Amino acid sequence: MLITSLFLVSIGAVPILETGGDLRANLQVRRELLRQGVPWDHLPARRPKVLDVIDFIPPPSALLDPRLLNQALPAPRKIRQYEDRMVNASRVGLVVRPWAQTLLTEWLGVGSQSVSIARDGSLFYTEGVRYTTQAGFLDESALASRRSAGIEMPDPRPAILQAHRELAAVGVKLVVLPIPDQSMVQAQRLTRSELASTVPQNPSWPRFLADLRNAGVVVVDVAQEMYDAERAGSIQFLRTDSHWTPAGVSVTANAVAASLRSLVDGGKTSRRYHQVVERIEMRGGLATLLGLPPSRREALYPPESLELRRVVDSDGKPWQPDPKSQVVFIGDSFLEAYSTPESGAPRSAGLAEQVSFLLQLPLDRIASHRWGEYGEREALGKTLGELRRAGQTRRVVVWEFAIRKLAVEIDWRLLPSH
Amino acid sequence: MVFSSHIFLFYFLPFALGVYFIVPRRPQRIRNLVLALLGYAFYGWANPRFVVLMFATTGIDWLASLVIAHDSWRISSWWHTRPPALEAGTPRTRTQRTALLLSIVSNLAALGFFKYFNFAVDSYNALIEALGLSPMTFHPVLRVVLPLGISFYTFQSLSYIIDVYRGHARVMGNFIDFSCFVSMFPHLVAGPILRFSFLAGQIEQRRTTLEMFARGVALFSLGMGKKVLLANPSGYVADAVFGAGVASPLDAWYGAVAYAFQIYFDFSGYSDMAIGLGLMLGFVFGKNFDSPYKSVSLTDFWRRWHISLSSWLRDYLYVSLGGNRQGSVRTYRNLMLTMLLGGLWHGASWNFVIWGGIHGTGLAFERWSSNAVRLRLPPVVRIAVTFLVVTLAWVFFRSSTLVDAGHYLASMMGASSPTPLQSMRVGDIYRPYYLLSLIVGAVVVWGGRQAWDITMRLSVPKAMAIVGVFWLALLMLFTQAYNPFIYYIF
Repeated sequence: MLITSLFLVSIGAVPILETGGDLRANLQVRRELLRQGVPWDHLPARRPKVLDVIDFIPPPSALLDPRLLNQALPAPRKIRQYEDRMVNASRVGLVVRPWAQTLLTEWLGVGSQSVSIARDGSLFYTEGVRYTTQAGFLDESALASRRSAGIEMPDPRPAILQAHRELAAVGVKLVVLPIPDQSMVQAQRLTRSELASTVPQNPSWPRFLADLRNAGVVVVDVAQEMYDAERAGSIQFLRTDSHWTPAGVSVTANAVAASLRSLVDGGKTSRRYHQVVERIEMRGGLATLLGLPPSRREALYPPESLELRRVVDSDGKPWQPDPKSQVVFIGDSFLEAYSTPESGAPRSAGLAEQVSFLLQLPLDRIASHRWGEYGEREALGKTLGELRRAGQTRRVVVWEFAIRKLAVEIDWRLLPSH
Repeated sequence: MVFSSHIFLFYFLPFALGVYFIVPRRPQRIRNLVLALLGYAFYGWANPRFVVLMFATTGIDWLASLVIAHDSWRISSWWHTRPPALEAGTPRTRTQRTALLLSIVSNLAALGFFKYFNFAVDSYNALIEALGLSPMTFHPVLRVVLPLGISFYTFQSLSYIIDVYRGHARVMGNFIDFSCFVSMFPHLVAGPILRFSFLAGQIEQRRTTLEMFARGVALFSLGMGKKVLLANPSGYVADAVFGAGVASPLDAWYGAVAYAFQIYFDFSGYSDMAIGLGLMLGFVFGKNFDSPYKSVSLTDFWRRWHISLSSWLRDYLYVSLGGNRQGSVRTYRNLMLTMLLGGLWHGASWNFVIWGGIHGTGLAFERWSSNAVRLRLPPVVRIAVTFLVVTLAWVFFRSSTLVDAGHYLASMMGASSPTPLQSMRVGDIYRPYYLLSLIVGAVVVWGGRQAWDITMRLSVPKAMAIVGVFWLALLMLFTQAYNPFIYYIF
């Protein structure tokens, strides 16, 4: 009786608590909307998330028609998304997970599904480590594996070459800037073996690089420079975050500026950019992703102290993107880092700013960490549309993305041109 | 849907138990219908479209069994009647043989197409290219997707139709009852492979007592503990080392043993959970594992490992080929064929064939060699040697290709050195978590009793300990986003 009761309570309590929590949250939303004056009959009907499973049941009329039935049945991907929602939004999980993770991390020395702990205790994003250490991302087995997981186009080359061609058709040069993964640059923290002087790379990288360069795409490969800088003592990546330090930004900015010098018109500009040094404290995103209770996170992974070089103009105002500039940077969270308020740091110290300073040229920047499954290509498509529609001054588009996206996270499906 | 997932534990299982016990116990068919529908919902969760395939093969097998039992193709003449079991050992008519053939062919055709089409195409292309005839290669537009659990439920259906044909079981007159046998969710996607003759009576009549339910809970809890607390960390180590491809000898042996533990705890844990669920629903399934790594020989190993499959292969394949009744040479041939096909059942790849071949060779060798020599060795030595052979064979089972298996074995022998990149992959396998799970795993494997035996009698302290294991597994599960059973893919 005892074991039966405890078991039934264990498995029964969770759905009751979750459903009760959903109903309570929905009730609070409805009360708030009523307080705001929304009419009763206009209140949104919201059901507990568990009942979303009803959407998977085909209507009775579809059972008699195979074609209708095939359309009505949910795709496996939708079912996986529902499962993920149930897990990720679990209130019980929110309470239990931090303490379970404390047991794993503090007592047993391991990270989580998303965060790996290196030998010196620094944190690495697991997907990035996989990019570096797994089989080639262009190997047929890797491509097949991604296709079976629902990725329509796992090979990144066609999408990049499409962007290159479409930009070239309007007279714009594409510069591709894959940011090396932390696990490549700080590989020594992940292994007891002595590493070579050549930066560790995914086995498919040379082929990928050759294919793009042979097609005329400019690719800025900063992996070796960052690796050499790291080995010389200049820390390129944060200890508890997958993003780069200001030193990493600086190394990359120098390489990008060197590539852009021959592509842009230096011209005359009244603007002059300067750098102003500032110290900040920054909390790493991986420490948060690990999911420890706040008290343990503070104790184990305190904020890091960083020296930023903020770029300001001759009036002392922080650097601002210039929509009319010759060069536009389009990118992800690496481009946002030290640049925008969303990155958690003061503005004007990111990659685009540093390149602007090095070239003494105004630049434009479109950055986000929330592009979705197609990455920055949505922004690329919109930029291309603008380039076609209006008279334009652009000469170069610098497309920045985390290198691991060549192997994970992103569907490289060809998008329609704008 | 896997048993150790959030959605199954906290939503599907409470719902299933609630619906099952709310509906009246009599007539039993109502509960059979509930189980069948739950089974289809469970199966369709992975891919709804494959429900149609399972329904179709179930329908064909049931109709074929009725033709065999009635010895007539005329549906109208045998509707609503259920003849007794055929007389065992008597000759069968052409109608009956045709119906049997139809069922076997449809099951094996489905299994063959979905499981082996891609393998056949790849093997054909590899052979053609090796012969320098590249223009003759075949590249189909689509790659066939493998429906989950197809190997299990087709074997289960085959056992039914063969048992009816042989006269070992009475035909199921009602489609609902038969669907319940094939599709009930505890055993549907990864076994145990249930013999119809063993389960027939329970389909028609069963009762759940509190004692049965409690034992089912205990087995389920221990199975979940094996899966989440032992199989998953072992799997991490095995994935890291096998993924590196080449490793130091220590890392390679560590990875191989970790895989041996992973596959054992994963599969036996799943079986315990399936058997536990069966008990909760009033069914008694047989034990599926019996401390296989305590085996003193490969013959002994196959009496203890995946018992439902090995006995199925023995009764339906080995015996049908002639077994050991036709002299030594034919016995060795039959052993080898059974194990090669058993290997192929596990996966559509030459690796699995080689794995089966190793076991077949070992079984034949044990039969040929003198017992007297082996029995003089201390049991601990025999256990160690058997575990060594099994572990080396697992390398083929785990590796993606024969080339990878070769590289891995070379690593185990110290014949290759990993590159720095390869050594990066195994950077954290010596963390306390993984070492602790290996040690605990070893204690459980060689020092512990089977969950089947532990749960025979449940005292209060034992029950609390088992609940503790379950809660610890739940705690770990909340930190793991997704942890599929590896036998799920068969």
